[in-house]
This record gives sequence, C-alpha cells and structure tokens, in this order.
Amino acid sequence: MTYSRLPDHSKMMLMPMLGTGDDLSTVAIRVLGGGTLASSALATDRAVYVPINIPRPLVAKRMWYVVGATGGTNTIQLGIYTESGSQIVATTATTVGTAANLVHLDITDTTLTPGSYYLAVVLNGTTATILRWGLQTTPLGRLVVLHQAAARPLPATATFAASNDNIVPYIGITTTASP
Amino acid sequence: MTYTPGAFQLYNDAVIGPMSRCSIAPRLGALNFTTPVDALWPTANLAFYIPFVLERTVTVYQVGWVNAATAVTGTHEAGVYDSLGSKIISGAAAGSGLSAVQVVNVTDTVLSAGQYWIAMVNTSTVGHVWAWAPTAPQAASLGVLTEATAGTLPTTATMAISQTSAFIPICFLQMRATL
Repeated sequence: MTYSRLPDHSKMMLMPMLGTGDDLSTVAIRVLGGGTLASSALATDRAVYVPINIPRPLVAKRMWYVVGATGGTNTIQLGIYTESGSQIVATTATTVGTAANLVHLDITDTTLTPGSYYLAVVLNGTTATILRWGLQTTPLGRLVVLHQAAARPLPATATFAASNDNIVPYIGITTTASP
Repeated sequence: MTYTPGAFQLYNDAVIGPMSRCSIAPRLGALNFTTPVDALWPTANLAFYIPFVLERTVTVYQVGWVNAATAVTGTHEAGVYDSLGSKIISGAAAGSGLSAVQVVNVTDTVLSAGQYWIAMVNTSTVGHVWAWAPTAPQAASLGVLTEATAGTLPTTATMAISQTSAFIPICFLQMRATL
C-alpha cells in the first residue's frame, strides 16, 4: 500500500518572523520564570547563543532584535551558528539604535535546513539595552543559553561555555526582505 | 486486515486566529501576554495583519471577532490575505452585541497549505474589541503589521512595521459553516 496523505513538509512555509521563544525554548523560558520581557545590557563582548529549532527549510534574509529602554551608540552583531558551533552567517556590527524599536539587520540570504541552531548576539558595551527574558534566578540561564567571553566580532567557530546569569535575549530570524 | 488511513490533519481547529498555535500564539505566550483585554481600537481605519501558517487545506466559511464589554461602534471587517498581500476574502458588519463573538458569512473559500495573513480593521475611534496589548514594539516583533486604510480592507495590502502599536485584535477565520 502506498500511503500518500502525509504532507510534504519541504514545501510548507513558516511564519515570516521566527525567534527565541517560538518553540522548545518557549517551554524552558516559561517554566523557568521568564515572565515578561525587560530591558538590560549584555556583558561587553560576551556572545550569548540561544537555541532555536528550525522545523522546515527556510531562507533567512534578515535577523532582528528589539532595542530596550536605552538605545545608544554601542554596536550589536547577530549571527546564526550550527549546533556544533560553526558560524553560518552574521550581520555586520551596527549601532544599536533608537530605544523601543524593532530593528532588522540584513544578512546574506541563507538557506537553513531543518535542525537545531543557535542565534548569537554580542554588544561592545553596556550602555545600550535590548529586550530579553530574565529567568527566575541567576544560574538558571545555564539551562537555556550558552556564553562565550571576548567574542566580538562573532567568531567563525564558537567556543561554547556555560551561562552564569539568567538572561535570554529576544532575537530572531526574518524570512522576508521587507517590511 | 486492510489499513485505511484517515485524513491527515495536523490540527483541527474550528477557528484560526492569533490565538492559534499556527499563528503568533506560541511566542505571544512566551512573552507572557496571556490575557486579552477590553481595548479601544487604537486608530480609526487602522488595519492589522497577523501572520499564520496552514499546513493543510481548509475551507473558510465565516470570519469574526470578539466585541468588548464597552462600546462596539464602527464597522468591523475581518479577512484573509495571501503571503504577498493580496486579499482573498473578507466580511464586514457594524459592531453589534456587547461581550459577544460576532461572525460574518463569507463566500466559502478554500485555502491550501501556505502562509497567510488574517486582517482586521475598524472604522471607529471609540470601538472596543477584545485584544492583546503587548508593550510596543513587541507586536511588531511577532510579525504583526499595520496599514492606515480608508476604512475597508484593501484589495492589495501595503503592510508596514509599527514601532508604537500595542494592539493585536482577536479576530478569526471559521472553518465550520455553523457553530
């Protein structure tokens, strides 16, 4: 018997904006007391790698983040890494921008096949803030994200280390070129 | 024994809207905006476009929204657009019934698997509906886009990012002829 009713997932589409909080990481964030988003700086030059699951093939065209209560002149860089830590694509380092704005940064159009990836973010100072979840207590970040000190610009190969705080950045991928 | 597979269904929602897992609900929950509010339509004639993904073919019989407990003045219109912003179907009616779900019949319309936008507009500056009120620009970060219209959903949408919008209306497509 030929079973022909299973959908062809390779042809299915995804939401235009994917991000941390969409899938498996949602569960961890919620049950670890993530609550609502808040503004905070990230440690200078420390990359934070947030896991994300891509269930269908997609073409990533931009990455996004949300500026927190304080914008400013610090620079931010976002990137996408394989599960083993190889950089797939990254934005150029860009001034964080205006407070309380959603910001898209262009990347080279990049096809991602289904699998697990890390979205990375690094800033060069602690003046500017971005939106992020703050888990219930400090060490819980170790259960969700990975860190790397002195990782600006984002390295070609990540050297993952355990998180020592409770911050989960709110960042993502966009599959459209605009708006 | 002969195995006769049933129709493959990834979900069987009677209605689809922003509260659906095929739309923004997972991340809306991750952002902890889990409770809708009785909300004033923020700007007359401002349309909202909320992304969702169908993984199987459905037939839309009705569109609807949820009137609030306060004034429900103005003409409401809800509809669906394809991924490129072309209107497929919509239905409009004067707001009627406090704290009531209001539905409008539309031409039975088949939607195949793919990405779409559910849209809603209200002509009134004092009309209330049930909605989520995420802190701006978090609605934009969910992929919710807006457009200043002439009071009706346009044939071709010109969607834009709003950095200040804090409103996501509860609107829906109904996949059953009667409920």
